[in-house]
Amino acid sequence: MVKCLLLQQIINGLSLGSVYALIAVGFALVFSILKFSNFSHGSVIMLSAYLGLWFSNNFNVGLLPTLLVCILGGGTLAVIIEKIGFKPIRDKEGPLIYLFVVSIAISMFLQYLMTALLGGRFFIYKPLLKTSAWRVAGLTIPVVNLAMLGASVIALAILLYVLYRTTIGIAIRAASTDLFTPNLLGINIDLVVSVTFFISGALAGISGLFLGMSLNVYPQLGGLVMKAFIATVIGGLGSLGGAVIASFMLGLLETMITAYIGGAVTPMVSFAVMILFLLFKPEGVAGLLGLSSGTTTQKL
Amino acid sequence: MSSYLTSVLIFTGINLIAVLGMFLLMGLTGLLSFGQVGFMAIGAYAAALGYTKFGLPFGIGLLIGIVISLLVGLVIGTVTLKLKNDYFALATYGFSEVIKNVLIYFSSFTGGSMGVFGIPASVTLPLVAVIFLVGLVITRNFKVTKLGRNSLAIRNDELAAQVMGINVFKHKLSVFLLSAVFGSVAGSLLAFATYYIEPNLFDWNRSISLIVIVFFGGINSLTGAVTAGLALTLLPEVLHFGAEWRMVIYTFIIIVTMIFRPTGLFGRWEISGRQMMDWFRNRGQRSAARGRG
Repeated sequence: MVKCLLLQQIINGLSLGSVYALIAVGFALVFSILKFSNFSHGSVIMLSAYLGLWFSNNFNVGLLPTLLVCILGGGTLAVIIEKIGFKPIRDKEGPLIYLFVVSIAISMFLQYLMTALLGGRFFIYKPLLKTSAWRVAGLTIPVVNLAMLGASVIALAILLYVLYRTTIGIAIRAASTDLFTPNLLGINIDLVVSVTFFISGALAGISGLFLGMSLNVYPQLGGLVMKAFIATVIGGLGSLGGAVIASFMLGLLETMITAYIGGAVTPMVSFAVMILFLLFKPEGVAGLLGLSSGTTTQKL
Repeated sequence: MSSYLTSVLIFTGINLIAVLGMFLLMGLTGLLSFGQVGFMAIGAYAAALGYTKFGLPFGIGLLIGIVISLLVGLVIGTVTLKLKNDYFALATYGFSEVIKNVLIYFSSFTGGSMGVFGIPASVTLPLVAVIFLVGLVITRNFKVTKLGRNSLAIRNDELAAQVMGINVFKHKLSVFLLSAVFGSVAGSLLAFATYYIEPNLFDWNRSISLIVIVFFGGINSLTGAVTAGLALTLLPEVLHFGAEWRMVIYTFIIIVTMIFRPTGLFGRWEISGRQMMDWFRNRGQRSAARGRG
């Protein structure tokens, strides 16, 4: 029984980790190019969740069309946010901290706008999946999380293909080392940044749909990006592989602490771990595992 | 003066004291911190629990709050000030979240999420005004002396400042501690102005409001920070906005400011006695010239 409980906690931890991983990769992708923590990522997740809800309820469609709409919607939204909020500051060569402040302001703005317009209430997705959980030998495996894990793996595989096998991917990797030189070499940096934001937004759209399905839809849904931030830091600044590994570690750690010590100390431990990594191992998990740290140029 | 207006002015004054701390830290030294509300919480709970649990008068509670804030600030500052930009900001956010969770967790002493009741409303407008003026003089003197110039040097280029012989870490720590004292004092005053405090008074929204005010007024202008503080605290109160719309407007203001005028409304402009004298003298001369013509 005790073993069963532990196994269940590990499953819960891994499902939580898969949520964090999907958010963290989108977050780390923008970080690796523009070198700032983009907190508006959370509001893209939140708005995509509302978009998917509206679309699936109004047009009475299944999971796949809704997923497609969320991907396109999230990507477009992220590009719009980049053009309105970040591009003017980049053009004026303002300090990085301004981009960070604007990203927080945008995320708060959209969150409170949704609260003011729709109220703080929860909206519930109609069941898009046939079963909500599988019960195997006394264990409960939530199907939404399994779908999320599957979607994360597929999305990450496509992302790796784009980054390593296409021209735009090479441009993105070049931009992640240095924004200025590729520009001199004739790469359209604005286009590269827009594509990066689109990919990041598309990942946020996927996260938004699945988060909305498992946690319902409410204006503070994007707050989970804080966990993704912690995972990105622990993973090693801007390293995609590190972010994925750290997301699962964080998910497991949080589930174990909540189960065996208590929910109140969980946020403290997460932040403490992050600060310890920042102080003593800034290269993060990627550095510990010998993945070269810093940019997206390393393999998973 | 009506009691409503008095209480609005008291809260505005308290907010301005917290803004002064934020101006020192973020405006002058360039350290974006979400930790100020953590120190406000420490100040508020020290004063409130000092009174309700031990019967200590407000003044003693205020001092205890300052001492605890300094000690906590020393530990937190030593750990987090080594971090850069975003990481410092998020680490200080972690600090204020931890403070909030500690206050909720040790509920037998702090009252948990129920908060602390029965605090006498002994804070008066003159007291807030005097403390604010003292704070204003300290901040102004800080800005115009060597300390302020060191801060600006660190904000603009940390490496260059270090090369010029400024002990960057020590200076940052001093500013962090000074702003922690401002936060703590504002918190203590808040507790004795509201009768009742709870951990959620000291949340992320309050941090954001402080940051919005300093950026809106201009990170280089003390006049701007104080004016923005007055305007952004009084206006929503006068116009009776709900909490959600207030935050929508605040965040909208900061987005527009950062995009179109990143130096803030006031830029580098400061109000000063000499300028005003000059202005009046020139006006006198102009009207005299006009009289002759």
